[in-house]
Amino acid sequence: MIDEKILVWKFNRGSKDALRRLYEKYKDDLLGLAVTLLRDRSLAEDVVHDVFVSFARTAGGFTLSGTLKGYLSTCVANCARDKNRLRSRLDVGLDDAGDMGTDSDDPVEYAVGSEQARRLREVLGRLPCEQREIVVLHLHQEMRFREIAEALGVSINTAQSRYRYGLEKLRSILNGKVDK
Amino acid sequence: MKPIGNTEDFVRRGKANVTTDPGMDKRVLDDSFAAMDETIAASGSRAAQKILQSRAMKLAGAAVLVMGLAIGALMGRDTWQSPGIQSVGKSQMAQVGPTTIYNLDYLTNAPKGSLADAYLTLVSATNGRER
Repeated sequence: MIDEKILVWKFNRGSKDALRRLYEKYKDDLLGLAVTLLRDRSLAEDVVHDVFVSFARTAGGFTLSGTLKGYLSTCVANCARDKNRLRSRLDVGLDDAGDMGTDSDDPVEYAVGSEQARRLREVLGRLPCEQREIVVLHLHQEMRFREIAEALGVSINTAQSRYRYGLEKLRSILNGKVDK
Repeated sequence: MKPIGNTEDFVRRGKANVTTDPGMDKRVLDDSFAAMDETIAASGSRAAQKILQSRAMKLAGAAVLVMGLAIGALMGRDTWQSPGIQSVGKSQMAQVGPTTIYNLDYLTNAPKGSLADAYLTLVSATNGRER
């Protein structure tokens, strides 16, 4: 945490090395989040790119309240939401994503992880966008509801109820699948 | 029946474990560095502009100007009141002569053809032309 604050301090003073280290630290996590929300690797890469370029533009005046991971994750979620809206307007299917579940070296783990990730992306894709992002931000990015609520500009109660509804819907989708 | 006992666990375990490729890293970092450079350059010039346009800077400039004028006026007043350096009027110059006014009397004893003599001649000649 202190290390992160020092990096942000250096970044604000124009250190490219600090920006590189922050990118190295969070890039995979943020790409994973974007992939989960968008189900499209290429779009997810664009989202991470846009978020980091926007972040770089704040050099000199960036003030960190909370964690940087939380801040960047929220930026990714917001950007992914915009991309999803644009995509739904262009009427492009959400199921075009290739197999990108895991990069594990173990073939068994790869197969299991990949299958689980694929199933998760499939069921998450059936949730409304606002529920999906809160579920993912809370369970994957380990952000607190207060943090998520602040970042998304909603009340904590709204964030918690969206999460609850999202989980209930997920549960019913998963149950329905097995019942078939 | 649930496929996984706990939905939250299912979501957690399904986290996409993806990694970026070097091409993406290069693209992101290059563009981020360029954006950072632009921002820093812009903020530098903005800061300078802000300082120059700030009220404090304007007040400081006005204060320096007033002080400069005041010092100039005081020095000018001192110069005017100093008896040794008062400007010499034309009539006074005509009555007394430049060698007396400028305290060059000691040069009158200088040997003929010396530098002091030449200077004295020059001063006297100038005075003659004015007249």
